[in-house]
Amino acid sequence: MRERGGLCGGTTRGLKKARRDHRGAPPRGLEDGIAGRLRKATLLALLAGLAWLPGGGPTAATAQSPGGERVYVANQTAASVSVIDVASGEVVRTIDMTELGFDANCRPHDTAVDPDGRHWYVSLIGGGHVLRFTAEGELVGRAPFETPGLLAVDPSTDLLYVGRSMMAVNPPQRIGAIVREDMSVEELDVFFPRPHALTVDAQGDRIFAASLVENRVAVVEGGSGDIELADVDGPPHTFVQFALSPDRRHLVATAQLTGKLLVFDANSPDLDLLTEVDVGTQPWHPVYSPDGSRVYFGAKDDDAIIEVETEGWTVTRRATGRGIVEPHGSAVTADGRYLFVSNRNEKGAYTPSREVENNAEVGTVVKIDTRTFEVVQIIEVGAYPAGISIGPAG
Amino acid sequence: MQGPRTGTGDRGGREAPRVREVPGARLRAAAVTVAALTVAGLASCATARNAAEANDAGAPGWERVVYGIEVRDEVGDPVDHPFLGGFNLPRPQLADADGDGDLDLFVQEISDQVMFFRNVGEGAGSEYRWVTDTFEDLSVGEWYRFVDVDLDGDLDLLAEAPYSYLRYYRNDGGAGPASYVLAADTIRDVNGEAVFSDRQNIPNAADIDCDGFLDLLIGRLTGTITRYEAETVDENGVPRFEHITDSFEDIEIVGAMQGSLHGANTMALQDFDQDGDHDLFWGDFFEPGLLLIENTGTCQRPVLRGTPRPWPVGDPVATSGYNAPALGDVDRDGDMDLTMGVLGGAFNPNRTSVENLYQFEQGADGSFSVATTRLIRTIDVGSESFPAFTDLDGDGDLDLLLSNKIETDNTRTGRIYVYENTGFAGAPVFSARGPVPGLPDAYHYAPAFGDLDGDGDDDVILGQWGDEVAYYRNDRDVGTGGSGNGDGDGDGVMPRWTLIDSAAATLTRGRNTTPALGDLDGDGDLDLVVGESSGTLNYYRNDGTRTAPDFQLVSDEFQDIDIGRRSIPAIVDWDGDGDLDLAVGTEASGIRIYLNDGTRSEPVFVETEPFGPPVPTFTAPAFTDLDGDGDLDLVAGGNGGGLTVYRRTGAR
Repeated sequence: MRERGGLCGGTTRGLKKARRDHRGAPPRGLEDGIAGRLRKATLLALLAGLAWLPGGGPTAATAQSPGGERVYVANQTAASVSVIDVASGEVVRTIDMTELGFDANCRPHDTAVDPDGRHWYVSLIGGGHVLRFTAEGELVGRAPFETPGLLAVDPSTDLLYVGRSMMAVNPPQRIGAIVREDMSVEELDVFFPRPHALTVDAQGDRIFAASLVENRVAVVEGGSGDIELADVDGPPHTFVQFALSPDRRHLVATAQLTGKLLVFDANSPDLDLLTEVDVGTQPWHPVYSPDGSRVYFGAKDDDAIIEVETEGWTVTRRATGRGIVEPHGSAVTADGRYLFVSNRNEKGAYTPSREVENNAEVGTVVKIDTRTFEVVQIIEVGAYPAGISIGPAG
Repeated sequence: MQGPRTGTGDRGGREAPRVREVPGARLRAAAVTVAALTVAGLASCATARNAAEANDAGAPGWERVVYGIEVRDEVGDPVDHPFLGGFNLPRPQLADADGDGDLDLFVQEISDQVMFFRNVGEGAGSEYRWVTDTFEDLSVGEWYRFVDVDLDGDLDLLAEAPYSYLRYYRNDGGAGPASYVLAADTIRDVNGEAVFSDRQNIPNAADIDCDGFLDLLIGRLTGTITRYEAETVDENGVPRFEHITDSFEDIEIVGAMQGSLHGANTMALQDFDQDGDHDLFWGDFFEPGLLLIENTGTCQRPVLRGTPRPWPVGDPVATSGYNAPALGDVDRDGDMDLTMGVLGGAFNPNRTSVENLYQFEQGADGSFSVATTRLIRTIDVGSESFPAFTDLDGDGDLDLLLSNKIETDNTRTGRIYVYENTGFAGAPVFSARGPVPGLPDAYHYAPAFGDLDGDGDDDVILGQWGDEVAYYRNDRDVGTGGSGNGDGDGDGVMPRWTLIDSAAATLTRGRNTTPALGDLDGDGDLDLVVGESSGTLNYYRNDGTRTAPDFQLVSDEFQDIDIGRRSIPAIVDWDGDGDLDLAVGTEASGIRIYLNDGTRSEPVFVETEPFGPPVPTFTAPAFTDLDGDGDLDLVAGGNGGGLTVYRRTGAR
């Protein structure tokens, strides 16, 4: 069942004006609002030959970036972000949040990067902010936001969407829309508690968000803020995260409690559930291959990385072994050749190369060759690496 | 009073918990104190009086009303605490606040404040009476725990210091009334490092090994427990804790399904079986019940290594999860009972937005049974309640309609619940009659009443979660739909509304329509103001007639009023000058007041001082003369799904 309803606790005049414009009512001062920003951002993106597909996935164009690509890893316990050069697999920069004045328990949780790679973002659960950095690692903006969780850049606009972490007794029932340029925040009411999973369909101007505690998905129309709810049958799933296929036909969701990958018809009015795939224990953040033929994600409690082919929706390969310990975030290079997966190592099952008092002080990012589905590199980062993103070096 | 580590093994903290009398004088000026008042027309109405107005009897003011207006549920049982605002995520604690030997009840419903209920029961059993929403004005973040931190025999308080640190209030009351003093804004370890506990993981403390030194146990996201033990005190007498282990008793809690660890947790430490040691109860985001880890060792040598067992053993409770336990002998029969708040975890918290404060009683055979799932029974229809008043049955008094955001047992709609006034004008008795029948599925109904067809009864403009407001004509013929005689049988109160226009007005943008009716242009018919989620107001002038309304949009940013988020207007003559003013409920900034500085036909709304007393978040204000004294009292819905009531006192 799909419920149509309204968006927006917390829309500002910008969004209000954007919605008014969308509905054909008299626009006023659009140039000052988010709508104006959206137009400007879209125009700039077009002029720049935007390097990202509308579905949010990278294209080959990013690989043509002379600086290559970078992986951004939020180290939740270490209070840092590791920046990894894709080609070499080296950590080229570590940004320590405590050196920026944030608490050691600020809990960096997820990252996102602009389509052109010139800026990237990190959510600080405990720090109560989303931060904006230049590619060189300079902090240039911050947006206050209560228990921010997952991040999703809308490559067709100037907006960054933010979900909620579950690390609160009662977080607001809203997602955030942050204007990246000035880091101003709007909040969009999604009706249900604990909105967590989050992705953007840029071409379709839709945002998908799901509750951690109800089998319910909100589809928010970006321009108008209209929201529709889709209920998902079955036992409590606890949706962790979404990924949208590059062709925008399928929305997949990992389900923590049922250990499934759920496949939805992204364009059906009721977000029809097409199939469910048993994939292992606690599947975490999924990512599509650029050609849409594969979905990758970690099965956190299986210490495994899973590949699902999207033709028949079957599990085709599983990677396990050294470095794959409590996998969390996933990101794929623009050419689809390499898959990067962060691994929490909270239980210390992985013994790092350097001597530490507690193995859990070190997490890993594994670099997997998608042709062989083998780990080709183990990159050691800070404690509890969580959300991960990839983009051009900027 | 302060209790530096003595090492004597004296386990003062295991004596009957004691929090002494709390004098009202310690409450902040803006808080409310209890007064036993008699409201005109109401029998022995216990209310809370706004402290600011209590000093000036002639000045306008507001008195909180919690008791004294009779409310009955659908089977006729009294709702004992009718106007507390409802509960969605109650976090209970038990302690003897007044030193009378029984356990009083504390409940945290919203961040940073604690409700206090005094146990006024005689003999066996407990009978709680609300005292305040802001006990001692303590700032507690997301959680609090009564613990004898300094082991001096009375209960101190641990609470969250936002975000995710531990605050310590020392009880310096001695033998007299309790007096909480902020002793440490951040509990630290022996190295001076702040002790950290993710705020959704509610810790607890007790002298778990009976060595005279307090142990602090913190649940972790991994399902393990970190143990600290008070090692020394700092120069202010505040304990410093030594980190003992991150794997206390090798406990690793896994959820009921899939071993989920991406969670949140709560715990209680008590000797539930009275064998002389502390047992551990664990509530978890991914656990629909409550887990018991029984201490099979001794007080000095605790062993908590057994498999966590769903509790009560053999007949475990199942809720939406994230259950917060507190133990104490509430019925004074010599054994431990258990009070449990349901915060709502992975199993659809919406379904426990009403039944979420459990009381388990222990029988003579040691078994536990559920005594109630609503320990504090208050009007509660779920969440984000919206009240309205109209005379449904034509008996000359106003009945109450109260809608919710969403039903607890049907995720696809909200409902409007009818409370028939079976009392009289000025002395109401509200009797629950069930939901209004026949309405289509929609979330968050928001009714506004007025005679739109000129037939002398109230028709309804119905807002909802979408962007439209509907017009329903009241086709009920008093006298034919039932007795309608106010005799309490309820047969004549249910409305019979006929849909005339499903989109009598449609917002230009935004959703969550909250209508209010009033003659704003002085032409004798009712115009329409509609609030919305974005916080602005929409004004629709009635260009029709007194018998056929025609609402035409005048402005979707009416008079530039924008309260930020979730505007819920009420049209009311606030200052008694004969024209209509606006009171606008908000998500989190109370009720904003806009006085009409224009005329009856050309209003100019100017913001003035907001409504002063505390009101719930998502405040939905309704004004009606509850006590028949000629002025309007406030009945406010809110996030908790219940009602908060203030009676207007004094001159305007």
